[in-house]
Amino acid sequence: MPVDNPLHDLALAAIDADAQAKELLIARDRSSLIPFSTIYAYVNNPSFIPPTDFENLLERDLSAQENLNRLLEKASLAYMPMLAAASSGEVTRRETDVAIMTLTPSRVEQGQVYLKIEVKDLNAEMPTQIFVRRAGGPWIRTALPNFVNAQTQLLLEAKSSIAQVLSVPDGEVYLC
Amino acid sequence: MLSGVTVHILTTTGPATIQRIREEDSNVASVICLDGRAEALPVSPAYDAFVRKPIGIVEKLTGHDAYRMDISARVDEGRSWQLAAYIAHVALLKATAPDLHIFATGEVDDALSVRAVAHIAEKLQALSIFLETNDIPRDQAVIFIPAANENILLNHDGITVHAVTAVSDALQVIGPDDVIQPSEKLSRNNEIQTSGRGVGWAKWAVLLSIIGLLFWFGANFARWQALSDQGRAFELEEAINNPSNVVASLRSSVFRKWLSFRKPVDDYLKFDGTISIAANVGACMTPEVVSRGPITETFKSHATVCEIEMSAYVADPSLKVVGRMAYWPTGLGASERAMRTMRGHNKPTGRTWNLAFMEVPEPGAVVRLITITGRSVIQGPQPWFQDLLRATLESPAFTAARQRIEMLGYSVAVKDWHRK
Repeated sequence: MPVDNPLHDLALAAIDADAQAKELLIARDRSSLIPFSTIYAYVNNPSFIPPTDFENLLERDLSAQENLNRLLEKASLAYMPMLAAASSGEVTRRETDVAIMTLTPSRVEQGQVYLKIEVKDLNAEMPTQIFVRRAGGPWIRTALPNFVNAQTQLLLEAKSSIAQVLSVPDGEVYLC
Repeated sequence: MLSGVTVHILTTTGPATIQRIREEDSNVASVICLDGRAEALPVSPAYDAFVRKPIGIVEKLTGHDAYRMDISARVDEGRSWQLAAYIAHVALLKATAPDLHIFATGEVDDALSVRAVAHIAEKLQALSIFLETNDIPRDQAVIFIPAANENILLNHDGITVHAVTAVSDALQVIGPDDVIQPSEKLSRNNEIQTSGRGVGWAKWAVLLSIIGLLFWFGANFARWQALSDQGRAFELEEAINNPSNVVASLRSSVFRKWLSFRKPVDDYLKFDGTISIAANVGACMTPEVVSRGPITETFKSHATVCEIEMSAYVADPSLKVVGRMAYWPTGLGASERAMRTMRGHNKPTGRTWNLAFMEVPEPGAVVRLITITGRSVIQGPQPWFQDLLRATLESPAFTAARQRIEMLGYSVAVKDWHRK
């Protein structure tokens, strides 16, 4: 049988208040993380400039990472998974049934490479962005130039993070 | 700088100088980049269309379908860069061309006609500002503007303006007669209109002037000519590059001009070559299993390259050929020195370089043959070979080395072999 004890009630109220306070604090934390609308714009709008601390926040925010991954899956025209490469040599070509991607070193500037992307379906809506990452690493996002005849090309520094990720087998790619 | 010609694209924000044009891999699209950076300008797709067949006109001219053009300032839109770009491609094909600054604007169609473009007045205004801070000799500069544009002046800031209806109009200025300067061209046109008797008197006057000049040259001429005849090119260079006074300087200028007339031109040299390949390095040692064929500029097979032999020969027996062949296993100029440098030897078939590989060429390897041809066999030090053998063809180092030896009455030819 319950005991009608004011002290007990007070203690329960205190515990409840503490729980509510914690909930409020957590909620306040959540509101400071990356809103879904930001993630959405990041994936779908090549001219969207994310907040300066976006990458740091994303790294700490598992929920935002899940949202980003889901959006990439949903919004992308093509996904190029990591390659099961027989050797650890440099990757210069990736191909799926949707697109072909090649890396060609510049003859003129030794430290530069051409990334050429060709979409096989001429009538498809052409991607505007490329997202790349190494296994477990952060996504690197780059806007693509307009496609002409279902092809586009980027000139990259060979040492740039995107070129380096694309040249190793454990790099994965979304074209959005 | 392209064979003495520097081409500038007229834009509303000032001329964009075409710094270099180089062939890229056919797998990539042509690009226009800003000042050597990894930044393809937005006009790059239009440039690719301008280059590549079936629409492009540059590939029809050069036979190659992908280029990288570097320019000094941004060109973000429009097609008015096309006339300058086409002229630059033509200039690239020329062994020699006058020292000339070309400022051009115009759209070029597939019939090589030049179409009108907008904002001519703004472009010329921006050019005036550019000229204030850039030391461009006005008599070594021309401006090309589409004739289809109206109200074109004949002269802008001391530079002759040519209204052109077709690319050929512009190319006459850098045409085969490479001593023609714009001002000279005009005077030559005037000469054509003079009577035959007047031309005869003019010839006598020129002849008498030459005789007078020969006397005026005196001992310098005889000494320099002797050095030239003996092939003592380095000494000759020292002598004519260090005049003691203004008069000597003038004399050396005239002598340089004389040497330029002695330089071999137009198909003076033929090349031949064979490549020997085998299934693997070990097989290279067994002549029976080594196959030989004509050498091509690039080698794409997986076979092992055992040996390369190249020959250079001249039809004119008065011409002499020397040269060096350099082997760069990891790419041209990639290491401090070439792994091997060969001087070649004379054979009945011409001067021949034979390179049997100790370290067989892997993809990226380059073999470069440089020949220097003139009226005498070069003796003594030849410091120009260092840059000629290691620098890329469009690099300032290569151009400077080439000009250095060509100024002495010799012609330089290059053959590059690449393993893909």
